[in-house]
Amino acid sequence: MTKLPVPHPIHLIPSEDEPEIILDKAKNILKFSGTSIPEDPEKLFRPVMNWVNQYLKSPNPKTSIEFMMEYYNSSTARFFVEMLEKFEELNDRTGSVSIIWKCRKDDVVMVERGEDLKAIINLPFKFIEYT
Amino acid sequence: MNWNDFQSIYSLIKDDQLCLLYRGDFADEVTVRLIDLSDIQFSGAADRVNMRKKVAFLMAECFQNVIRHSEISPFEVGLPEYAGFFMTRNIDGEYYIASGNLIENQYVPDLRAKIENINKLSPGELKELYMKVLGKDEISAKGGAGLGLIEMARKSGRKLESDFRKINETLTFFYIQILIGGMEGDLQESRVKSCPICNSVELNELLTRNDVLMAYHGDFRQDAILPLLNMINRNINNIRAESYLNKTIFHVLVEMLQNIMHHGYAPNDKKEGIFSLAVSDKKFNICAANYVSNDKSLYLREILDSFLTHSNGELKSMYKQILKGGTQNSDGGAGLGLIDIIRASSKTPEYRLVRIDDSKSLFYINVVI
Repeated sequence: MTKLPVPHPIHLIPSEDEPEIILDKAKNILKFSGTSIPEDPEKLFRPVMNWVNQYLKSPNPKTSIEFMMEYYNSSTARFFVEMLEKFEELNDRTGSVSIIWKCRKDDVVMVERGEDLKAIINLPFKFIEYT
Repeated sequence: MNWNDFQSIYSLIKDDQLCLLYRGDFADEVTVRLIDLSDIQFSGAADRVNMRKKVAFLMAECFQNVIRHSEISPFEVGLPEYAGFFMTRNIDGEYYIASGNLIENQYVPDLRAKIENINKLSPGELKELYMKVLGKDEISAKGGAGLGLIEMARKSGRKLESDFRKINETLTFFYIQILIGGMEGDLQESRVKSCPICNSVELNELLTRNDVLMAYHGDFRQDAILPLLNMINRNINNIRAESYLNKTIFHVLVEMLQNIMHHGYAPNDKKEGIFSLAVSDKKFNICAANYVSNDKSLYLREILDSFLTHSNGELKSMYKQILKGGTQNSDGGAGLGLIDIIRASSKTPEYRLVRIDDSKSLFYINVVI
């Protein structure tokens, strides 16, 4: 059996309008944090989707995707849904995927965003509020 | 900003390459961002380094002018409507910079005389006066020796324009305006008339009437949107303490500004638009307008009319449906941003779609949060 290639880790350094993204199969980290209001969402997220597609061909036994977003715009919201839908299929087969949604306790906007996602995505969500 | 006043402002500034109007607090952070914003119009134009430096210098000089007189706080004297004013406009490569602030009536004659005198002098005489004042270290009672004014006149190479609007027995609102031309010494006197100082006074009065904190007309690129957002974010955090509401405002701003960036009509790859932010009674009023192509305007009207008839609860489920289904129109937008804007506003947003010519319409939307 041929061994599937491991996708190269992605570590996107955050900027004023782009989030920090860490996608590292070997360290088992999939993390999105900060602000996401990119000028060209397609350009920012295409490599991320490619990474996810590659990862899903040979996922780790457990996958937890962590979000610690300060703010994101509606086109980023669309991307998050598209990406998480891909993980739904894996979870349906294996039950190995979970979402960790971290946000500040008083950040009602981000809490609500997490709840919206939970309502439309069929994956277990764990909410962690911090002060 | 209401539709009538919006139209008045629009007709004054619609042909500007850039127009930035600001009223309020002149903290360092804000002035730096205003300079950043004005600076983006020069990006990629290496041959205009001198012009760029000159504009930044003169903007800073105008800020100094407002700040130097900030001991008369419009709030403390019960005249919040006379907040400091700042304007920069680029009309066909010519830059107009103006500022306005309160001064005491007793200083008006001296100031008027200084400006009149400066306007009579040749460049050589101005330099001479500059050296003389600098050497004498003569500081007037108001902390300014007129050096700033002389510098403005020298850098601009044009006559200073001024206007004094008496408010009451003790205070006057003082405006000063300078013009910097694309080519030094290549300016016709008639060009000055394309933006006389009375236009700037009128703009400030329109802003004041609508409690506008800032207004911007220009290219809605990401590098213009970011300093705008940053500056406004600081301002709203000073005005209102409830952070979740401020985040909602920020959210609406992002969607409105990026809507222009992503969907605006741009035949020359320039996403032109107007945006204003007003604050009164701790309520924020955000107004944005941009061109859309006529074929898109029908679609826009259709989805807006449909969204506006739904309750917030219904909008929430529509939002989720679109998020999940991802139905995108030909323009790449699914209307998510518009639903977000409508859900966040405290009363039904007002919008207008006005046909401008055969290819484009003007889309105006006014939101209160």
